[in-house]
Amino acid sequence: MNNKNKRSLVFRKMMFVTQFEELGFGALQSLLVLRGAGLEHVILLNVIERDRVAMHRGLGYDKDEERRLKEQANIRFIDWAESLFETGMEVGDYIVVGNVVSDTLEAVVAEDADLIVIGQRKRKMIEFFYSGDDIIELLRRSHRPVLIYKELESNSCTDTCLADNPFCRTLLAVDWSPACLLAVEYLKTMKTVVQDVSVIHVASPKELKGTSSLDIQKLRKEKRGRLEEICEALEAEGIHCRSHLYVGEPVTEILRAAKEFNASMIVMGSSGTSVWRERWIGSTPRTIVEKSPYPALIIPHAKEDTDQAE
Amino acid sequence: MKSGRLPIAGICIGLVMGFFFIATEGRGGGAWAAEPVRSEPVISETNMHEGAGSELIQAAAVHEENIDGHDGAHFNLGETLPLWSVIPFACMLLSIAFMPLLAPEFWHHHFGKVSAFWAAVMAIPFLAIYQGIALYEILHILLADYVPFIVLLWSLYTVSGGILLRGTLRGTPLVNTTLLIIGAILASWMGTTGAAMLLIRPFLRANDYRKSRTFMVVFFIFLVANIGGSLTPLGDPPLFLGFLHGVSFFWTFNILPHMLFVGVILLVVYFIMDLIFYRKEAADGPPDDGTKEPLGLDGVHNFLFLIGIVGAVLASGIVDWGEIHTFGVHRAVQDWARDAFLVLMGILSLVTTSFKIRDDNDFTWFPIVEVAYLFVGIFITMVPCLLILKAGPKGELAFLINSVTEPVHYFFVTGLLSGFLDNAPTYLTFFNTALGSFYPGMAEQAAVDLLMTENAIFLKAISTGAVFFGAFSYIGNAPNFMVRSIAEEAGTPMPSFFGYMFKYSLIFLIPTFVVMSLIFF
Repeated sequence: MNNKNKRSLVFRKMMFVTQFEELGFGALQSLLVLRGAGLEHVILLNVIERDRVAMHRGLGYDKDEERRLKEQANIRFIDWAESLFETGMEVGDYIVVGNVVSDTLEAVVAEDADLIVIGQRKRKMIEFFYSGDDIIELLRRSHRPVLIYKELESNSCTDTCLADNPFCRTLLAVDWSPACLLAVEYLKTMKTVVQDVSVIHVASPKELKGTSSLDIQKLRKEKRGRLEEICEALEAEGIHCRSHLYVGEPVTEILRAAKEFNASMIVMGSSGTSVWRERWIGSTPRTIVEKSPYPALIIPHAKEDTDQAE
Repeated sequence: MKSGRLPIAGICIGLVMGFFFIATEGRGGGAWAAEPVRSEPVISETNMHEGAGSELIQAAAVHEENIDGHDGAHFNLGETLPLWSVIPFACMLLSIAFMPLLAPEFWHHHFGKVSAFWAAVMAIPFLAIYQGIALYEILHILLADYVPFIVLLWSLYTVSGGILLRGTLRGTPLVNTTLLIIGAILASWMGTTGAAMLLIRPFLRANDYRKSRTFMVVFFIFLVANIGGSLTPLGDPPLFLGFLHGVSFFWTFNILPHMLFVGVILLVVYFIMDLIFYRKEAADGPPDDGTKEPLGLDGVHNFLFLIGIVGAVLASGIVDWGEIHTFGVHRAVQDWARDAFLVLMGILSLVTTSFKIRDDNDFTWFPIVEVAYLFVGIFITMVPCLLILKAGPKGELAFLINSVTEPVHYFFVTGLLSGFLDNAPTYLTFFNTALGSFYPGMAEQAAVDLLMTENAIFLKAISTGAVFFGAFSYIGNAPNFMVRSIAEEAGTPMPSFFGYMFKYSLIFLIPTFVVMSLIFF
């Protein structure tokens, strides 16, 4: 791995994409724990969706509304920035009218941000049907890690670790894809933030079907061995790690494991499937993002940024 | 009233209207419930023995017998419906015309509920009184008109949204006029919305160094977003509704002389205006920042899908693959096949076109979603109006049929209403007025065939009125307000709703239309 890639594995610059309703200052504050892992710069981004101000049958383009929404966002960002300056962070902001996905990707490239943080908004069924989900599209098109931030329910935050640090008890779901292995590298750079990692692999029942018990044992050993390798790599960085092998439907088992280990976050590699396959058939990361109550950090395949917006 | 309660309020008003219909039964005066008693035994009998599905088919059979029959012995729904049954339709159109102006924020967020409200006000009492026949009429207009209408608009919008014209143009009078001509030609083949969305941004970019740009965008609305779309059923929604009701695909080429006449006059006027302003501003010249991008079309493969759409629409008017029943409604197999093919074209465009192109086009689903929501309300509420008009002099709208008698009447009445109300339902209203006037009670296709031949001048008047006058105001045709919005976002000041009409439509459009009507009608 060359120096350029090594540098990109540290979350130095975070793009915090907010519409305010779903992602507030509390979320931003909790993510400042990443300062311990090299975070230096926060870019605040508010995208006013074009439909809110444009194409009004009676008004055309509603400049007054645009001005009002921008001013509103600006006031909030100034307030947030002051707090961030006090902690020694560099801060920048963008307030634009456009499309959440494309404007986020444009800003990420322009700012060379290392991490995108976005919240999940509830969408009506009909809205989802015709325009899909911004987060799913962002995951598909982004070549930078995306953290889908969710507030953990209060009963999950009984210990201070979970309440203060969303990365403290991480569940790493692996399938040994390049993106998953990249996720391991990212976790290594976050050793001061991540306290405990549970590495799990969910084996498909199909892999075990019709196989003799000897073969099953052999398969189990082989997979455990590979999980242990990941654990050893993380332990070497000082991160406490345990490995677990599950059998079943991936999403169900990952969520089950997250609950069992009282995880604060799920980390996994992106699926790398096409947007149409993603939309109609789905993928494990997509379903985790949609269904899981846990924040999810999705690491994409390492690619160049030149075609990021394609 | 909270907006979320609108549909419930609609249901309540509908129930009250239904109660009123029943209460007025037997008093004469053309109440809804007075006549259908005659048809009830048929429906009740089927109800008892064959269930709801058969009831609908039976109702359809009764309906078609009524429509096709000429002896007057059968019950004809259009002859019995009271005049005020068109009130929800009028309110629906007036809501679309005025609520965006009077309550723009409310409208932007709740247009779907407003549409549902008026649809409920019409549909509930209509269904309560006429049961199977009413259900048939509603299903018929939804399946035979709404579905193909919205599928065509969606596919054209989706496919044309995947084409992007890049590059740096210098907005001289010649270049601008050429762009307007190209846009007007394209409009008939990719829809006025498609052509307008394809060209408006390059047009604005080319002229962003010019001081006077407002008139350019207004003429763009006149020519590309409206008048250019008059040559084929794909061009403008009213013409596609005509096509769905039996007007042949190429019949609209009969409007070519009218279109050329109006188009050439407007282009000449535009060119002169542009030249005058250009010469005044010439001292400034365009800024040369050295960032000239060569002209190029991205997503050019989408033209194949456009050809597919044209071919499918054309083929559906030529082939005859028989009919199938869908929820008791007869529909031609080729019509379903066409709709499925158009959906396929749209999906293929979405799959094969880079997101970047749609992003750069600022592509958003909002306009088509708005049209989909509004038109379901428009089509449902217009059922009584169309039935009464089809009944001709025997219907409650006989006064309209009797007063609109000359082609020039059709042109201006269709036009002026199209200018303020949506031009698609207005077209259908006067199309049916003409059918009711000349061929009352005749089967639709036979009547339309005669209208296209022996009374073609009336159909030309209706078609040109609906399409040309769509440019009269921002709300006459969907692309108008979209172009306005894009222009304003790009920093081009646009006139207000009334400013547009008083400064431009009344000055440039109406005199041209008057001259055209004197020559052609």
